[in-house]
Amino acid sequence: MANENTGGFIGDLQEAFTPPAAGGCCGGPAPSASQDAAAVATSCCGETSEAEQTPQDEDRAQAPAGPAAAGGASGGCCG
Amino acid sequence: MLRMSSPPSASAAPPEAAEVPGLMAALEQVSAGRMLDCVTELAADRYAGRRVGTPGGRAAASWLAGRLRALGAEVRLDPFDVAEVRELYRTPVLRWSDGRQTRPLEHRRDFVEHLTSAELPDPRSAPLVDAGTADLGGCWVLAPAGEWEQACRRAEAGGALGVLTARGTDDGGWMPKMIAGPARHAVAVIGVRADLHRRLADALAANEVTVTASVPLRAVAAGAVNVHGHLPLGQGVRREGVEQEAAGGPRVLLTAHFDGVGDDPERRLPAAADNASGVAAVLEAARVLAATLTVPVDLRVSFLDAEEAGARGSAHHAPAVAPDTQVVNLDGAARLHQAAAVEAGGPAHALLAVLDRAGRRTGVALRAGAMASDNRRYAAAGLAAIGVGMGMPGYQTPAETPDRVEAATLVTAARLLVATVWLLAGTRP
Repeated sequence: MANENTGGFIGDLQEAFTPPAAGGCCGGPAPSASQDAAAVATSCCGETSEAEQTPQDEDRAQAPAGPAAAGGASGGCCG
Repeated sequence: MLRMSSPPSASAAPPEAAEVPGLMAALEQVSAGRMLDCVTELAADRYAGRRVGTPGGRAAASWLAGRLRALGAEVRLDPFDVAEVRELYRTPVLRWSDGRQTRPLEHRRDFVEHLTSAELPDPRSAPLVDAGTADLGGCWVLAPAGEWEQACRRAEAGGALGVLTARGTDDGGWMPKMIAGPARHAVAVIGVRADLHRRLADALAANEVTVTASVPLRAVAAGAVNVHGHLPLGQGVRREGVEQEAAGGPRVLLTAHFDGVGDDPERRLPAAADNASGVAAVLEAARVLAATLTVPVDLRVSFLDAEEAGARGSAHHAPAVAPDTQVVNLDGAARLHQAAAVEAGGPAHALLAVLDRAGRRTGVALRAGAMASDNRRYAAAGLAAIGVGMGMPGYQTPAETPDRVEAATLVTAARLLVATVWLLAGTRP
C-alpha cells in the first residue's frame, strides 16, 4: 500500500514484517564502520536461544537492529 | 508539529478513516509538558539510570505505578528474576606505557568494557603483544581489527591476561553501554577507541609497551518488576468495575520499557531517550485515552523492566497476555527523523493497517525499520505486535539527557498511539 502523503507508511506496508536490519540495538543508532564486525553481530536485546524463534529473532541474532530515525552514528552494541 | 493530512486515495484509506468523531479533540489534549516532566523525572539522579534490580529501577517502577493509579488504572506489580545482568562495579582502568611516557585513558571515551570480558577486578600490568606472538602467557594481546574473536580464543588457550580490540564511538565520542549480550570469555576483553588502537599498534611495532588495565565487570542476578495497568475504557464500562471486560471492545496493550543500562560508577547515564521518552508518550496516551475514549476498549499499559537485560520483562509477560490482544511497543520517542521505524510481528496485519491509518490521520510518516525490542517477545508468543521507534539521541551514553528529548517527537508519538487506539476501537476484530 504505497502512500505519497506525509503521514502513514512510506513504501509497502508489508515490509514492516521483514524490516531491514539497520544496525544499532533496540531502536538505537547504527554502529560505526570502525566497530569490529563480530562485536555487532551478536544479540543485544535478548539471548536468542531462550526466545521462540521468529524471523525477527533471527535478525536480532545476526544484526542488532535499530531505526534509521535514531540519528547519529554509534559505537554499536555488545562491546 | 502535527500535520493533518487527507487520505491519498479511496483504496489507500478505508472509509472509516475519513472521519472519527472525537479523535481530533482527543489529539488536542496531548500535552508536551506532561511528557517532558515525565522524562525529566525518570532521568533524575534518584533513579540512577534505572538498571534492572537496582534501587533506582525499583523506585522508577513505584513512581510509574503511582502515575497509572492516578489515571484510574488497576495496577499490578509483577516481579520476576533475571540472571546474568552485567554490572560494572568500579570504573575500569586502562593505561599504557612505551617506557618514555604513560598514557592514562578515559573510560567510555577512550575505552570500554567489552560485554564478553571476564571479570578482572584490579588493575594488572603486563607486556602488550601482537596476537600472532607465540607465547601469550600473562600478556595483554592486541587483537587485529576484525579478528577479536580469534584473538580471544588464542588468548584463552595461551593463558593471556586479556585482549584489546578496536571499538568505534558515537557522534558524540562516547562508547554506548550494554548490560546483556553474548557469552563471556575466560580472559578480560577491552574495547579501545579505533584511533587509539592504531596508535597502540604503531607503538608496539616500535617499542615495548606495557598495559595496565582492569575490568570490574561481573554478572549478577537481579530482581525485576513489570508494572501493569488495566484501563477498561469506554462509555458505561467503568461503572461495571475495572475487572469487567470492555464488552465488545478490542484488547489493546501499549508497552514501553522503563529500565535503562544504569549509571556508571562515576558517571550518570540518565536514559532519557531509551526509554523514558517512550514511557512518557505511552503514559500520556493512556491519560488522554482514559479521558476521551467513549467506545469500549480493553486497554492495558505495561511498563516493562529488563529490556536492556535481554527483553526479559516482555519475555516474562507475553505468555500471560490474552491471545487476541494487539500490542504496540514504543521504544524511543526522542528525535524523529523523517519517519518512525515500524516492525510488525505475529498476526499483526490488521493492526499494521490501523497504524498506517493512524499515521495518516496524525501526519506521522512511518517506515519499515528493525525494532529489536519488547515487541519481538510478544510476536514470538503469537500475538499481533508492532514496535515503533522515533529516535534515541545519546543512546546509552552519558549524553542521553532530557534536554535532547524533543517535545515535538513526544507529541507525535503520543498522538500516533492515541489515534491507533481510537481507530482500533472503531474496528471490530
